[in-house]
Amino acid sequence: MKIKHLSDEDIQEYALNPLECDIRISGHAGGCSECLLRVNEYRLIFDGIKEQPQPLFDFDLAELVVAQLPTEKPKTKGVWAIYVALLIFVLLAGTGIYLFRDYVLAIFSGIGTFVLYLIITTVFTILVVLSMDMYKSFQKKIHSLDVY
Amino acid sequence: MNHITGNNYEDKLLVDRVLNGDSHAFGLIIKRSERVVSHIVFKMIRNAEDRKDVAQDIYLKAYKKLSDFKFESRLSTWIARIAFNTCMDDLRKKKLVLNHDISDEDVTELQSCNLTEQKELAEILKEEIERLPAVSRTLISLFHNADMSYEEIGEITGMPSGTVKSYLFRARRALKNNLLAEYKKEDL
Repeated sequence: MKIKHLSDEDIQEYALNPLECDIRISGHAGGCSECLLRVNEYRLIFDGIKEQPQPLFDFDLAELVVAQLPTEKPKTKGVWAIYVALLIFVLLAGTGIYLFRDYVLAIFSGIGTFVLYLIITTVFTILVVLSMDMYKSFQKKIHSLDVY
Repeated sequence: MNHITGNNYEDKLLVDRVLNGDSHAFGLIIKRSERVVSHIVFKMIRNAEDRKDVAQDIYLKAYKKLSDFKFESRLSTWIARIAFNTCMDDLRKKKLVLNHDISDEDVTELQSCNLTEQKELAEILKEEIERLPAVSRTLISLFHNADMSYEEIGEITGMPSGTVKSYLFRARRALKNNLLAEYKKEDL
């Protein structure tokens, strides 16, 4: 009876991933000396390929390419965007308070002037601190990418 | 759906910086993708001076097309795709047949190697890999040295993963047969 050996593709599959192979392949390979020999030939080749040195450019590619890029000043809109946003917020809030001043006065009529002053100052300070913290966190994330 | 997570998030930050005019950020992108690009360029382009020109060309193309990158893959995979296509264009321009591109110069180089009686397998293997067609040796390098999956290689080469798998099977078989033939020749 002629034994049907594994195809070359099956042999390669088994040499690469013996544990993930179909049971048909692993079952035959485990008991067939001829197929095992072919498996070992491939494993030797795969190990040899792995040992090939990593190809490296013998020049600073990043420096060469970056030197050819168009020179533009990096935009600093990050800082200005925060100031603009704050200004817009203050203008909108101020406009809203002015337009609806009667309603606002009605809400705060029961609260003392000094307490009202404290509330407004506290809210404003919290907003400024939160904005500065968000900006610092953003800058930190950007600069954490500068690992080279 | 464009789902940006993990490495893609860092890619997005870098891409945004480059698009805002930060060329230093593009230098970082080059460093992060240079490894896989070098696998492709070294395997497809034989001449060292040509490699230098092609490598720069790849990244200049990537810079120009960066605003078109949609984060549907990793940035390094997208750049590797540009690298593969650029190398293929270079080979076609030089009218080098992609399946048999060993020039006289290359044959001389191989023959001038110091053929001692007992060569290391790695050295012989290196020579035999260089004899393979450009696409085959590139696929071998990407799979076995750069540890890329069939799917990732498919994204780079524009081939379905099944085709990549087939190509690799044939390339490895050719490599093994050439090695066995070479050893038998030397034994004689």
